Parts: sequence; structure tokens; C-alpha cells
Amino acid sequence: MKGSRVHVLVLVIVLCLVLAWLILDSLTPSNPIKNAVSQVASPIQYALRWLGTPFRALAQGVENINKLGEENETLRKENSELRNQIILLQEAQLENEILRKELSFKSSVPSYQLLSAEVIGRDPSEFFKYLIIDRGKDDGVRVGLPVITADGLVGRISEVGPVSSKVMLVTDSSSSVSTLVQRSRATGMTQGYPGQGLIMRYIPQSASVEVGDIVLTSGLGGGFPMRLVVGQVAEVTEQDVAMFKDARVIPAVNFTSLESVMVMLSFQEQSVEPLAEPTPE
Amino acid sequence: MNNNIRFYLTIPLVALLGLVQSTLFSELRIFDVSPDLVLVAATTWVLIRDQPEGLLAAVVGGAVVAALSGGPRLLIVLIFCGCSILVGYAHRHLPQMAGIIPYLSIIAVTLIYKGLLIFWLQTTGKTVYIPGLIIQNVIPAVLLNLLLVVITYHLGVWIDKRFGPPTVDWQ
Repeated sequence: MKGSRVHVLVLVIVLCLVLAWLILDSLTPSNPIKNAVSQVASPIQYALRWLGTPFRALAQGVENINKLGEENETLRKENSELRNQIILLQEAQLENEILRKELSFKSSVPSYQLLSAEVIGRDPSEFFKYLIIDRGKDDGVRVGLPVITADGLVGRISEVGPVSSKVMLVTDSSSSVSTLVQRSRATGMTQGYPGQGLIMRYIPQSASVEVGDIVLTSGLGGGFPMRLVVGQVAEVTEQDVAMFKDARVIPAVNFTSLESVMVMLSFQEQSVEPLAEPTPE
Repeated sequence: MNNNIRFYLTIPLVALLGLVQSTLFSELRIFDVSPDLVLVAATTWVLIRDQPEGLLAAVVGGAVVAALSGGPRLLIVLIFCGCSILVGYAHRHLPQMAGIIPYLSIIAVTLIYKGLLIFWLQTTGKTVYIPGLIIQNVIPAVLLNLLLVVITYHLGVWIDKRFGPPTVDWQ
């Protein structure tokens, strides 16, 4: 009986601690309970991830073995095409730089300081698309910084702990990125769409969007730098009566097999202030 | 094993399961979903150990999942606690269904958990494609959790018999 009373007391204490954590979390961005938990959890997550590496490699190996021959042939072709494209692009870049210098334009491709980070955990709930990385406040990471891979945009930092951070993926339902279609320069807003991946909305009806078009960040709104690859258009939905059309976008990054990412440390987020109320004259 | 030690062990064990779910289990994708290890463990816990141990597992499990998730934290903790209370109640009041209670519980708990999160997404103005979510996520998750509960429940019963308090069987 005595033991049972102690158990209920322990349960109440744990409940109170959880409530305190939830309240502190909504009041302050860096609450001490969360920081302490994150410092204990990060090494365990790292170790668990390390433990899973051989199984992951084995699973990927089995999965890839059938595709290897076919993939090799495709990659060979793609490689020779890309070589030619690189030469042409280098020429174009050189010409672009010369012309920009002549016109005294600011460089359109600023260099960013990148910090590599390993993925040590994922959101345990399927409806929310977050990653946990092994870099935190101690490494200079802060909320709002864009996260990328060589393939394209991953998302942005949403929470920062001392040694780890949470990344909100572009596919999360809370994510919204200003984008444009590379070919036609049609602008829109690419949002996470649970159950469908990504959707580019608010594309003007008159704009041209086709399946296969590449979607890039537009830099509008200042949340992300320009020209990061977001994905590729897979389907276009348009209705005669609607003001805008939508496009389903396949993300450029394969989020399920993501192991490491890069945080754009030197990016300065530009927040757009709302316009001031006009004063009557 | 001492009853008190076993009770306190619930906290680190469930917390560890939460970390396993976010690391190892997130890579284990069958039908493109990962099983809800903590939800299954919390449900199994209440069926085997009853309250208050089951509720403790649910509070700790809910808090760990909420901490690692980008979703609504309070709601996740509340769903875990609510499900634990519901399963505990059903287990105590439906002894004639003891054989199928673990399986019925996990189906109900998974549907409640996923259903409430979809409802939250919708009410907070997020764009959600519900048919896609049901086909790609909810149904596979129910099947996967059902499969997982077969393992965890029987493993849990075995562990409880070995390390749990001695039971008195009527002759």
C-alpha cells in the first residue's frame, strides 16, 4: 500500500515536471529543462545512429544491387552530357562576371560559410517533418538558418539546443518557401503538403509551368537565399475559375536517406516588416 | 526484482525507446512508414503492469516523443495519457476479451493518435491531403503497429513473468 502511494507521488512529480517543461517551452525559447534533456539525449542518439549504420548499409546494398547495372549506364550518359554543360556554363559564368563588373552589379552568388552536420534523429511522428542534427548554439547555429545538401534545399533551423538543433524540412506542413520556376521565372509559394510532399501555390494563371520544370528559391521575403534547388514539377493543377494554379513538386532531396546536411551559417535572414498604416493628411 | 526499482526503471526505459524510435526505427520503413514504438510500448505497459505504472510510461513516452517532434507538444502528451487511461479501463472492465484486448487497443490507440494529429493539422490551417494521409500513413501505421504489438506484448509478458512480482495461481 505504502509502495503504491509512493508510485502515485512519483507519477505526480513526473507529470508536474512535464507540465513545467511545456509551460517553460511556450514562454522562453531556451528553457533549462529542454537544454539539459538535449545534452543528455544527443550522445545517446549519436550512439544509436552509429549502431544502426551497418544495418542501414546492408539494407541499402540489397536495395541497390538490382539497380546498379542500369544506373551505371544512365550515369555514364548523364556524365558526358553534364561535362559539356559545365564547359558551357563556365563560359557563361565568366561572361556574366565580366558584364556584372562592367555594370558595377553586386555579385548574385554570394559565398556562404557552410557548417556540416550529421543527422542524429528524426521526428518520431510521421505527420511532422523535422530532423535533429548534431550542431547547436555552441557551433554558431541559430534559428532561421537555411539547411542544404548538394542536391538542394532541406529546410531551416527551427529550434536550437546547446549541442543539437531541430531542422524543419521543406515538406513540413508549417514550411513555406518563396520559389520560382527556373524556365519561365513564374513565382509562387512552395509549401509542405502532408500526404502529397510539396505543393507550389499562387502561381499566376498566365505563367507557364510544365511537368519537369525545376523549382528554385526566389529569395523573396528574405527567409532563404536565391537559387537553391527545391525540386521538380510533377503535376500542374489549373482551373479556369481560379486566380492561381498549383503545381505538385517532387523534392530534390531524398529526405528518408539523408545522413548529413550543411547549415548556411553566414546567412542573414531579412525579415520583411509590415507596411506602416497610412496617416491621414 | 524489487517492485520499486521496476517502477522507477519505467522512466529510463521508455525514454530510451523514444530515442530508439527517432533514430533506429525512423530508418526502418515498411510501407513507407515507421512503427510508433513508444505508443506501442506505452499501450503494452498498461496492459501488463496496469496503473499507475502504465500512466507513468505514457507520460514519459509522450514527453519524449513531444520533445523530439516538431508537432504540438501538449497535445501529444495528452493523447498518450488519454490512450493509456482508456486502454487501462478497457483492460480492467472487459476481462472476457483479455485475449484480443492488446490488438484491439493498438488499433484504437493508433487511430486516435493519428486522427487527432490530422484534426490538429486541419484546425490550425495547415494544408493537408487527408485521403493521401490515410492511405499512405494511417492504414500502414495501424498494420505495422499491430504487427509490433504481437512482438512487444508477448515479450513484455515473458519479461514480466521472469522479473515481475510472484503471481499466485488458483488451483
